[in-house]
Amino acid sequence: MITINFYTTLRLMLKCREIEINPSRELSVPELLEQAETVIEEKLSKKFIWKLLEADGTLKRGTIIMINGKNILDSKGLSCTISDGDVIALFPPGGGG
Amino acid sequence: MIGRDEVFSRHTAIWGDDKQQALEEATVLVAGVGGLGSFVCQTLVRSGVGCLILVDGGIVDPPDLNRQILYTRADIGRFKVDIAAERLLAIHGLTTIVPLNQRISADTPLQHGLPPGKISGLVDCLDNYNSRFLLEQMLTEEMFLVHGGVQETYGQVTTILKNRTPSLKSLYANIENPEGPMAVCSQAVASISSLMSMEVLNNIWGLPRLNGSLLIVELSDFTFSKIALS
Repeated sequence: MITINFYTTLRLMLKCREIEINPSRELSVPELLEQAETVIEEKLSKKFIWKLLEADGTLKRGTIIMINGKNILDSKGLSCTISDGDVIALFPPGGGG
Repeated sequence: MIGRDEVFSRHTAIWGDDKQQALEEATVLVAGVGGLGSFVCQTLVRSGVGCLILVDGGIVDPPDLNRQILYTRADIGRFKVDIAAERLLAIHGLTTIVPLNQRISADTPLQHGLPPGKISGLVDCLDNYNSRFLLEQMLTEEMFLVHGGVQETYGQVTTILKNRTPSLKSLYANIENPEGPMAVCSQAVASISSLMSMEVLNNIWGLPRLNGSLLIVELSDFTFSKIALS
């Protein structure tokens, strides 16, 4: 199972803390998000990818996607692969002081 | 001058004289004396931290008054560090306050004759990521950095220890600040800053609780979550 945790405004918008996906193979980040959105749509009739990605598929400003506690942008970005057992965190962090 | 034993008697009743003494021997640099910084400075002074270095080049603006608890309408247009120093010194007079009226840079302490060895730790109360990364350049292996960020009704806190935890730069790799003025409420600022302040004390005592984990707090439904960082 891949566990996807939603935080801050994403969780409030979706009213969902966590979902799980059973992958048949390794997934890229966009593939994972698409599968997660399908699950969310079936369960809650809501979409969320627009909160994270621009129309051209790049990450929106201020978005954090972590795989097992590591920011994907500190690694291979959207090309990172996600496997069974990984834990994903999706959130925009607080930027103010 | 009021006696320290009297002022801190409610604290020593919790954590004892040795830990109180450690606080009194500590020097903490607070970067940003806005929303988070106003609260963090107040609670660190009231906790008995021996010396606070305040770094901020900003002035008080009307939108600051919803959350920057050190300031009032009479302070609009004045430099924040000057007012902060006045208000913090007025609390009990047992903490040395060093106001540095400037934006943060990696060599800020050295510019003022403060070698890194004199500073126990850094507190990130800044409002943008570029300044945060500059602050992190100041971090040595002997120091701690407590990071906080806040927005709307949520925020996050973590401790950064050089070469022992993921860096801020990796945690927030390639992030950019959202455009436009930041929406934020005083309740979120007070909550996040209190957690930061407690973690500063934990670090001074050598017992950080958020090294290697990111605490995310959401006030809209009172949720606290921790993400283990790698």
